[in-house]
Amino acid sequence: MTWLYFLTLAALNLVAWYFFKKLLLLRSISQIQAEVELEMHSRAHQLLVRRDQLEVGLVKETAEADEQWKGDLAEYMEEYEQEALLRAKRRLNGV
Amino acid sequence: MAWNTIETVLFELGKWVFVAYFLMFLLSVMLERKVSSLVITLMVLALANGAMTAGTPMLYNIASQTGLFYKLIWYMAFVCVDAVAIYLLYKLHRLLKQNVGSVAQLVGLCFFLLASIQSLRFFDRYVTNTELLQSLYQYGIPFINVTLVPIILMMWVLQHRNENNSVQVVTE
Repeated sequence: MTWLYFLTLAALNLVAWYFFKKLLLLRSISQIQAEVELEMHSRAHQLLVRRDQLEVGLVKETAEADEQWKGDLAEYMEEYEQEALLRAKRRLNGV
Repeated sequence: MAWNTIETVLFELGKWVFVAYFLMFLLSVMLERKVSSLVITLMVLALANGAMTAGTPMLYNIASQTGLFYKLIWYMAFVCVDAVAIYLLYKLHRLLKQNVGSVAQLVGLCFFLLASIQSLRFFDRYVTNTELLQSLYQYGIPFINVTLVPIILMMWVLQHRNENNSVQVVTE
């Protein structure tokens, strides 16, 4: 009977460990998102600086530069989601 | 410092742990002004510790009766509260869509350690009868509870400093 009681406690400990691992998994996802957000924030800042330069007329051949800027922006928007997903998949495989 | 003094200090501080957790929770609500990982963690910590503090006299009465089952209730109640606390930490972060911070991770680990100490002590006391873990049980639990207070405060201050630094970098 003593062993049965102990196994009950051990089972409860396993439940606690299971939820602790899930908490760690959630933390890992949070860190990946924060990491990607930081990098993308820096790229967004660069894009905004280029937009300002275009509007002020600091860049020559404006039409071409404008097209280039729009292309970069579209690429940025697409990469944002993909990058987060890719990193999450790569990193979480090991958890 | 004599062992008796350490014991007295630990148990005196242990009585104030719930008050400290509750004050830290109130402070976090006032300073953070929004739901965050820290607010969730301190709320769960205060709730779990409050439940354990309130339940201890009743559990003590039950555990002082003769029979192994009554002793099991004592240990199981604490393990249950610790497991529920970890579940709440996980579930609330998920429901409120909050990033899990380092304080939440540490508190989750501490709850798991507390649950493990309870189970190991039961094993030590009633399964093997070795009494090897008596000191770990007696001093380990109050030690974890008491040291969590300054550690959380320190991590909170560091977290704020890091956030302020990153805001400065972005605005520069």
